[in-house]
Amino acid sequence: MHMADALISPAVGGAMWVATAGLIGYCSKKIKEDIDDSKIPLMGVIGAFIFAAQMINFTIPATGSSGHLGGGMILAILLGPYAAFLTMASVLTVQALFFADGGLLALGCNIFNLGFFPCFVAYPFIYKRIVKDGQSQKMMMAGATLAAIAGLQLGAFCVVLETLFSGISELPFGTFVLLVQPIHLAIGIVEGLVTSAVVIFVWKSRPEMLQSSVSSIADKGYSIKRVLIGFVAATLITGCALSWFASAHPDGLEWAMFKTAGVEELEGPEKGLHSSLATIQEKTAFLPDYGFKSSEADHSEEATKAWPAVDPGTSMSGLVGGVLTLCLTVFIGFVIKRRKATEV
Amino acid sequence: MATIENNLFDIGYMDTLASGTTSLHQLDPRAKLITTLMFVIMVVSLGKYEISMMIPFVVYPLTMIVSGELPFNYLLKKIILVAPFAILIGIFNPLMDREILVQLGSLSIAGGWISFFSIMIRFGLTVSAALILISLTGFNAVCMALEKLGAPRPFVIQLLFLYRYLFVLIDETSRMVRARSLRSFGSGGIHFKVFVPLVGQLLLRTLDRAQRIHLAMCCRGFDGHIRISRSLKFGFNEIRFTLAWSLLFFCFRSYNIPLKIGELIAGYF
Amino acid sequence: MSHHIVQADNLHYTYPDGTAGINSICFRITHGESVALVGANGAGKSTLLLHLNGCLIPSSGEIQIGDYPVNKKNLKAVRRSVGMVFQNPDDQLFMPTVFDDVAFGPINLGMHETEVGKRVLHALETVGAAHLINRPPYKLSGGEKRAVAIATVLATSPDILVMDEPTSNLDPMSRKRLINLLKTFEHTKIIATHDLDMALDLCERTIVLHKGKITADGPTIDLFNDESLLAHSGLEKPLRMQGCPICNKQQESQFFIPIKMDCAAG
Repeated sequence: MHMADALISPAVGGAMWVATAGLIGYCSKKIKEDIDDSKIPLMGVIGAFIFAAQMINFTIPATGSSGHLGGGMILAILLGPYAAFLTMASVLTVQALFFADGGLLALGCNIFNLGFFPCFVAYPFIYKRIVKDGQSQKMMMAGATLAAIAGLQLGAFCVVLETLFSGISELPFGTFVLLVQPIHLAIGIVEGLVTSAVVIFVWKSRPEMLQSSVSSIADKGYSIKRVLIGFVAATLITGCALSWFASAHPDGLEWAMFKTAGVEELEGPEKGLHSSLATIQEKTAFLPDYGFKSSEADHSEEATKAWPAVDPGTSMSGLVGGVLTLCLTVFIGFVIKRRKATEV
Repeated sequence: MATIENNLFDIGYMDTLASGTTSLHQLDPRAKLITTLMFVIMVVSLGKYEISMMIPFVVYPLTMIVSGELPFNYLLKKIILVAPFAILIGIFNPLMDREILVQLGSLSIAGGWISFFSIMIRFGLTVSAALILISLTGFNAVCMALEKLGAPRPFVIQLLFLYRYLFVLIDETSRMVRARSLRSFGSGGIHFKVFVPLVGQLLLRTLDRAQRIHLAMCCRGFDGHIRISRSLKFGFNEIRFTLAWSLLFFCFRSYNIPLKIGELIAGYF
Repeated sequence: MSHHIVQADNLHYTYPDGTAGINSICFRITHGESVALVGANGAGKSTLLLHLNGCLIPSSGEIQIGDYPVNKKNLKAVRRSVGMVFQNPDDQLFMPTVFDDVAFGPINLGMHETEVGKRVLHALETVGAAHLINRPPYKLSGGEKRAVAIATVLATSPDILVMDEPTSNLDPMSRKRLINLLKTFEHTKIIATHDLDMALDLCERTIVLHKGKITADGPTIDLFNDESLLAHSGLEKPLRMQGCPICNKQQESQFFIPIKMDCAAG
């Protein structure tokens, strides 16, 4: 599932971009060190293959629904984790630019969600552990399926977290998780089966293709732990730092907590924390607009909420002003068009 | 499969748009990339209940489309095509957030609806910004801009190769899918059992192609490094473009212009 | 002068899976010769061509390009002398624009930017594709791709041009243009082809391959008149030599060729 710019806050988007950019840099370095320079055209065409293959929908037997190939696992199996990550990143970039799949800011999230987990978690820790030296078809099938499921589950969970921390969507944590994880379990099973079937197909004709990616990892003294720790740390630090300064609204999280945990009152230290956060936000945010709830709103379920400064007068001004501004912008557009026509 | 050919057409068409000759097209791609990113960040940084503050931002995509002589309807269609996803997630907002936030005379609007519309507007703005970037710049130029701005070379090379062979692969895929459909006599969609050998064959052919390309590269002296020479100039026009728009976005983000206009008018009555 | 002589001595090649490729291949091609390599599908034409610039290393025997035996050590020098144009131009045009593709070879040889620019322009002008210089390859037609692919090879000024099926998939006009272009080249040309009419036009010498072995090596016109040789090698006479249907005896071909031949000459 792709994150969209519309659902993301700059803090979350920025943090994920930092993580993704770091990973891209790291993988690029590893590619440069790779002595096999035939990987370069291989990555390009396999990326194009994945892109094209994703366009083919197939029917899933016994369900009547259709699915399509994700590709993260196939890439990891054929190219090894570093090349696979870069390839996945490139495919998602083209999709974001041409088909508006996700967005430019959310691209960082999408590359991370759909690239990091299959390539750096599912592939080394699940697929390779199960498949080992790659001679048994059954093991390949089991390995690919479990790895695909794991990769997609983690990726989907990441989407939930990113949406939550952005605070734009009201989708509560519990509901979102219940919605998203089972769907991705099903998708994962299908993806795993398709991946393993295609990989076995290739393995029967060109076994050397799979060997090359396996051996190149063994040679490099590859340490996934360092990669994982490094990037989780980077994400947390930048996420916290950015959130502090440019934060949107703690409300989303609180609201989710409120609904999921059923905690009615968030008083005591939380109240103090929230109001001080609000104060800081007021000071550092640009003009305080009618965009955030006050803390009192969460503390009672009465009909009257203490809603600051949204009186009918302001609402009407906002509406009128909004319509006028829109007209103004369209007018500007026409003026430019006219000028262009007369220029020629 | 009609959609595969359509996708191919789409990508090719947007690339053709990018070879236009307006002054916007001539700008260094870095300027357009940076401005687009500024735009997206500013829009996305607005609070979830913001609607009026987003409206001035419309001036950017509108100006770009008109000045760049881009097809408005085509871009609108593309935006609408991907809208369902945003609607799917966004629709939960009105369901969850029922608090009345805005009172317009006798009409009371819940916060959830406001944030829903906010989501849809920011969706339209951000998606249009991305499409406009590609339509005015072209993918290859965006990649060169990325490289000049510090993206790692192997990643940029990967993007360029991917793009180069996208057309070839999509064409090959559509031919295989068409051949299959002509022999399936209406037996419905592609069954899993057919999909695997189809994609498997495609993959094998792709692997062969990769080897042939590598061979061709070696025959022309490939030594592991791809060198592309491009001279990009970030001159006065580019600086003016980027600064002016960024300043404008900053203003839109800092001041609620529609509100001010509305209050001004209300002040007269 | 030994420069740019292509000499094959008892070349053998077997594929990794055991199938025989070529065997007992011997020939000597001198500077400036135009040689057509003909044979049925699977005869070994492409396999032989790939030996000419070291893409394949023979299982036994030797091949020499000018002063250099073709082996791993001399690959760079050999590939500078031998320019190979592949059958599928899409495999050969892998860079973002035509300029980048044609510049690829010179840049890899370490030439300076200005020199590279000059060579690219010259190569493209030679093939008549200078107006395509900034085009991305996917926007080229089949004929244009073929022309640009040749330009990519010309840019490094090779002495020997090796081409695999250069006229395949070309429309008649593009084909004619290509043949006229190749006629102007003074390089040594080795062209594997099914297009026997082109071989007749372009190459004074022809080598016939059958099941990996050379079955004939001599003047093109003589070989193409040897009907039993052609039949044995899975070939037939070029269309032009198949006789005028009006006044000459018609060949045992199943289709009626509506060519207006000069009946007086026949």
